[in-house]
Amino acid sequence: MNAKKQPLSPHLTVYRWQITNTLSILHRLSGLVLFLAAFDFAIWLGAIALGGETYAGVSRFFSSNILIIIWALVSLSFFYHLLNGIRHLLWDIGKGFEASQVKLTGLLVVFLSLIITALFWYCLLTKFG
Amino acid sequence: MKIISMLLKLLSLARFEHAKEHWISQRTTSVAVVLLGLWFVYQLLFVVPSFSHAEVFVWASDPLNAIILLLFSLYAIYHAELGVQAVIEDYIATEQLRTYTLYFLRFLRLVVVVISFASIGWMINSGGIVPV
Repeated sequence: MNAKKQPLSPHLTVYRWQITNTLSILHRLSGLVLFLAAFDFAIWLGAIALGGETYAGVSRFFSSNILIIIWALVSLSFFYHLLNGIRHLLWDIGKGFEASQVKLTGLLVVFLSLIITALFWYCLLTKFG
Repeated sequence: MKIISMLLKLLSLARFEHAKEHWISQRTTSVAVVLLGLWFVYQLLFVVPSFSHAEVFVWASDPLNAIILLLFSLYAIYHAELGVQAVIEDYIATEQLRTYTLYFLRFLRLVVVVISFASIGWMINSGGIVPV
């Protein structure tokens, strides 16, 4: 196998942990979680279409205890990736690039994603029990 | 022609995007996924009456909902492929392995695209009548 021409990205262990790079890594990790969740979404759509035993089985599996933990992770990833994604889009148009702003919006994103995830589950559980 | 190339990209039938094209697609798809994702959260919290099959089916087979669900699935997996592609290109050094991994990623995305189309097509085709 031929080695690649462009240099390899530095591995995660070489960084000194700060808010900025931690959130950047979390953006990728949450993105990977959501990539996997996209398959669950397709499976869910398929189960709704097929109905009967398939829907019953998928429903039972999706609402099992272990999967509930996964959904908590998926929802947190969703809101985190969404909010941090907006932060990235703002940088792309040149806003919020000062070191102090980067730190502040970073903390804000973490705080808000936790709050919104909690609120989301509160509403969901109130509605569906 | 622009609309056709955009459609091919959304259907995962276009070649892998790189550099500027990748950068722009990642941003445009992100906006789509934010809007569609918030729609989905809203639907879950305030519209879907329960998770019983009959009620979920009626909700999902409503033509407008069905189209939005399909778009959400297509844009989400498109955006995800762009993101995972970037991770693969950053961390897999061997050119051959990197290429194989990208094709495997494309295969996975195609599976999602096909399942989404089949499911949504089936539901719209039912005219909202829940199959027994």
